[in-house]
Amino acid sequence: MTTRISVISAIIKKDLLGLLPLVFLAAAVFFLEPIIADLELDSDSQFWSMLKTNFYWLSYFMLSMLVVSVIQLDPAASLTHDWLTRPIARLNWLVAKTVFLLLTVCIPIILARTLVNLSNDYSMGVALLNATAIESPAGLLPMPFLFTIALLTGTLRRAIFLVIAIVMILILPAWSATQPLFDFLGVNLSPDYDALMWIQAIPITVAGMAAILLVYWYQYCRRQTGRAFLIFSIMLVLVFFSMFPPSSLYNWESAIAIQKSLINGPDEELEEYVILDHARACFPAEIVGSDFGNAVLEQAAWQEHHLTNAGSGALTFATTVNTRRILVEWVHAENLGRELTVDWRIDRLRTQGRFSANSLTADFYAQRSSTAVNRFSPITASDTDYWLVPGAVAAQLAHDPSTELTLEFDLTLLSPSTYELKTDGQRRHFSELGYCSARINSVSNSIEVECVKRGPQPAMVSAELVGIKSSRVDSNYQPNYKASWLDRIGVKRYELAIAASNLVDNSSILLTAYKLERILRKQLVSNGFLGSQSSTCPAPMDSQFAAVERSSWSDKSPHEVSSIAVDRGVRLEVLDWRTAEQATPDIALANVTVRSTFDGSSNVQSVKPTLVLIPGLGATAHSFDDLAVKLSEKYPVVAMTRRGTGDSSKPEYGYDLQRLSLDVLQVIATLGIETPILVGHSMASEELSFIGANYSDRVAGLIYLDAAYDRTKVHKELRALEALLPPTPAPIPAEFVSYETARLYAERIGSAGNLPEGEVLASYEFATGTNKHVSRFIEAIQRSAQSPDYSRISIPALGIFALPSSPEALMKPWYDQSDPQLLETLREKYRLEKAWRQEQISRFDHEIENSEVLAIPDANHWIFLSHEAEVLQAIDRFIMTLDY
Amino acid sequence: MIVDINQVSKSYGGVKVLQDLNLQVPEGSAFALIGTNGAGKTTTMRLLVNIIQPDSGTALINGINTRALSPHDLTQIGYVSESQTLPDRLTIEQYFSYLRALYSNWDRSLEKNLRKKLDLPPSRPLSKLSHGMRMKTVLIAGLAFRPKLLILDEPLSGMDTLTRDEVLEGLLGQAEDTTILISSHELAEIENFTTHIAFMDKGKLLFQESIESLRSRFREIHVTLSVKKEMPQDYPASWLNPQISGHSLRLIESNYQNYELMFSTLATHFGAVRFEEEAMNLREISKVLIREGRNSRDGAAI
Repeated sequence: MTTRISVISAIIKKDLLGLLPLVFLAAAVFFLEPIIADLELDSDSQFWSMLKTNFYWLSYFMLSMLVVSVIQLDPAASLTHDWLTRPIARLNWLVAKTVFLLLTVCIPIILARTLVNLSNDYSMGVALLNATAIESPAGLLPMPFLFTIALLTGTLRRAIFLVIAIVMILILPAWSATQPLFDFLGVNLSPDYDALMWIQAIPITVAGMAAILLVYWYQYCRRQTGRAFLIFSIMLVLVFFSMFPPSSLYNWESAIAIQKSLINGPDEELEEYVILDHARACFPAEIVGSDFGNAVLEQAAWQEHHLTNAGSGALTFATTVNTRRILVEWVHAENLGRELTVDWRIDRLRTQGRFSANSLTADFYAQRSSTAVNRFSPITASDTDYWLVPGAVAAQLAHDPSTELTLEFDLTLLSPSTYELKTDGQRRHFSELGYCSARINSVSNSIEVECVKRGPQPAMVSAELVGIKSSRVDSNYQPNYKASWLDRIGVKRYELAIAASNLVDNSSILLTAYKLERILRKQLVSNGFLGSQSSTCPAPMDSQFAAVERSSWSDKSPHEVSSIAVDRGVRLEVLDWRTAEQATPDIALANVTVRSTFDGSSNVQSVKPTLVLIPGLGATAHSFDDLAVKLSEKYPVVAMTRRGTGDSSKPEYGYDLQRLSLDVLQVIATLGIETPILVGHSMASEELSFIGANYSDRVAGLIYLDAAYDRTKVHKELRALEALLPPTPAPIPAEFVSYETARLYAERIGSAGNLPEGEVLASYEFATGTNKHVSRFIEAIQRSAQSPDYSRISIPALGIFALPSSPEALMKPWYDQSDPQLLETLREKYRLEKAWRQEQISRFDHEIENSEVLAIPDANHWIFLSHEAEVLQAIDRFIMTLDY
Repeated sequence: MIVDINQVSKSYGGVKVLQDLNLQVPEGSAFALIGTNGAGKTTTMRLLVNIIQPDSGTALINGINTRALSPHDLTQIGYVSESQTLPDRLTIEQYFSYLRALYSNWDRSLEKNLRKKLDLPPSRPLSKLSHGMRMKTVLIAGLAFRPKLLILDEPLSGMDTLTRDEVLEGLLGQAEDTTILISSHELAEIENFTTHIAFMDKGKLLFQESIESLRSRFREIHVTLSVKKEMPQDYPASWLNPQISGHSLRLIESNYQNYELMFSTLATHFGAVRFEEEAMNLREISKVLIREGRNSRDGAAI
């Protein structure tokens, strides 16, 4: 044993002396790498940021040099080297070389990393533990290749030549020379499933390790260089085919089957909760090369050869698929004092589009764009794909009534584990996320989050402002699907930056680790070529195809539009239906927007109280375009649009309830309105209740239009039931040609009243029928909700509520009326909703000293549209009781 | 026999470097392997220390197949080659310190003596040594553990005479129990201390025998003929390179036994003759042998 140790240490000493300059240089590089990676760059210097992101290449190069050099100090490939006839046992050689590499590579790295970790406030134990893990195990994949080259060649020059030769032959021309060769041989290489590619690392690793052992055996023990090279060549071929496996051997089916067998448990119930729906009634389409463009082609970003292959007259179309948010986890946010939902996420591994039609001899698979503009977008609840169909096939499919499009999705289901993390910069430990810290960077107006996790990694990490889902940032655009045992020896750093940190209270954030739960396959079938039959969804080559003509839309309500400053850089859209006399009885010539008396001490006197209308969430002042006209016959009426919505300013701050309420008061003051009556729809109850409780001297009364609910108490059961209901069908393009045709859509979806034309223009996307407001502002407003303090409201308040009268009344026209399960869901929803609403009504009625309640059965949430007359009457009655 | 090579062949890329080589080295001998460049001497020696492996045949050292030499076996074999690649960044002292750890049988005093005798500067890096110093270093490195067999591949080429003598003296003085297998393209360098000799050419062994027997059977014969005569067709195969000119004949007898026998053989072919025999030195013998070996097809005549 002593002899063995002395032999090993003699070899190590000899190698150290022999490679001293390289060892020092490498140690310096290894030592600097973690330090440079941890540097916080204050300047925008391109050099430093380039150095920071690329320094690891130098480190990789030094590692390669060390590996090759230390092996080549005692090469078997030589015929002249002194060591060849020295009595050195193979084991001693191996141990000596290994220890040498550990000493020269690991020590500086671990030392530097430990120092960096300590400087980042880790405890000594954690600092050391994290420092000893491998940061990018995938980066070690080429190492066996390097080792075998070092074993095979006697000199560095030969090693470099061999590397260059291999790169030249195998890797560089892979897509120019190798690919056509394989095409010629009929071998289809299919490198098209990145997320699942970790599986290929296994044969590569095994082939690499086996090659090291065999090459060592033949070269060092048997002195059979020829065989060693043969083994090396076999390894190269294996590695090549592992990297680019022929699709006959390893294709999507087998890749997914392998993954499924590794991941899926017996619990298939989860799959039923994944429900996909088309977001559009008709798929937007465009003919390649046509003059009339609708951006589909631009977004699809086809590669030239795809378009060439498809031929002239090819048609490209887009399908958007929504996922129903049925699978959610609830998390209690301390910061907000209430529970929030965190969605499970669904990632798509692969999407196929298949047309079937009687006129087709075989199903036709449409080409899917892998270069579309959104290809690197994060996983969202809505995903768009772009497809290409050759002109002849498109014409055939468009006119065949039996045409059917089946979209087939291979999906993964990711379950969240969410934690709240204070933004105080303190490091905290979470089991799925490792050590995490978050701090506010006031310069870049962002929150910087960092997690360092050793061992098994989550599929994905994300961070978001509490209550603002759309502020979410993900650690990687594609989840990590590696089997967790592959991560055991590794450590991974997650760095995330949440933008617009001042949008809402930023004293803490939500951090989520996602775990891969299941791999599943879903299909979505649509009858017809572009979403439905050509009569409903015409193809661009058909004569009835017409663009939605927005020009026929206009805001016809007789209001004056003002933009009123309420805060630094924040101006709100205000619609004014008042006559000149109503507006300026004392100073006839003054302009309303200029005549601002910020202290509200204007001496305007009106016979009748002014009504200030505040819209619901995701709506604008235009939602009152019709109601206001009727109201203005009797009262002065203005309506305002909240900040973050419509034509009002969208600052990245100021969405707490106090600020939103002050916005309302500021508008009132600026317009010189004295003690108006606030009329709020839906979410506006927040401002109404807040002002009523805190600024009761500024207003004369409050009118809640299906609004007076406590939004901080989440009704989980109701939320879960609602998620199960089929979504509202999207409008077809023809329905949005004009306001008149839009009525057809309203009828189709069973809407009792029509949104005013101005509101449709302001709030809706014509192509999809979806709300077009920026979701982070909408969420910020939503987050401002507080439990109403009705007991502090002393001014008169009228609550008009919509109440369901029966489960059947909840049945929408597009629901499957014969579905017993759906009916059951509606019954349950009715029961819960009625009870909840009644409780809310009763609370309003009892807690507000001077309250009045009107519950209208079977009214729509847009109660002033569905039951306009009743609402107007109730308002009249209410105002008459006021002391004016 | 400490070295026993049987029917060994080796080729590189189709070129036969060794052909059915048989070679036996007696224990305790100083065995010289002679041949021109490319004769296969270096290959034979590398084969003995398992740097390369034979395509066919076996080579044994101390009865152990060279393909299966263990590290322990290598502690009994010293190998010195002119083209040896050394760990150049090490100093002489560091190099010996490294080697000392490898050999349990390292003789420090021998190392010390030899280093002193050959006057090597301990702190000089190996890369900065002259050719002579370098060879002295590797010779000590091959000898200081008192191997049973010391294989020296052209150790003296490129050395000036003074150094060569110094080295040989140092070596000979210390290698009493060591069998030495030394190769050279010139026999004269080593003739003073070799006991056995083998001649190789083009991968073949021409012959091997002791120096004594070799010296005794080679004679240069100068004959004066009484009658002018053509060279007869049936002259003995042991006569090498006969040159006849008028009344004089010159030849090399490779199987000389005694004066009488020589005289009667000459008389049988030429009638009345007078001749003188002259002993040859090894340099001359080796020249003849190499020449003859090339001319004859299989070297069997000698």
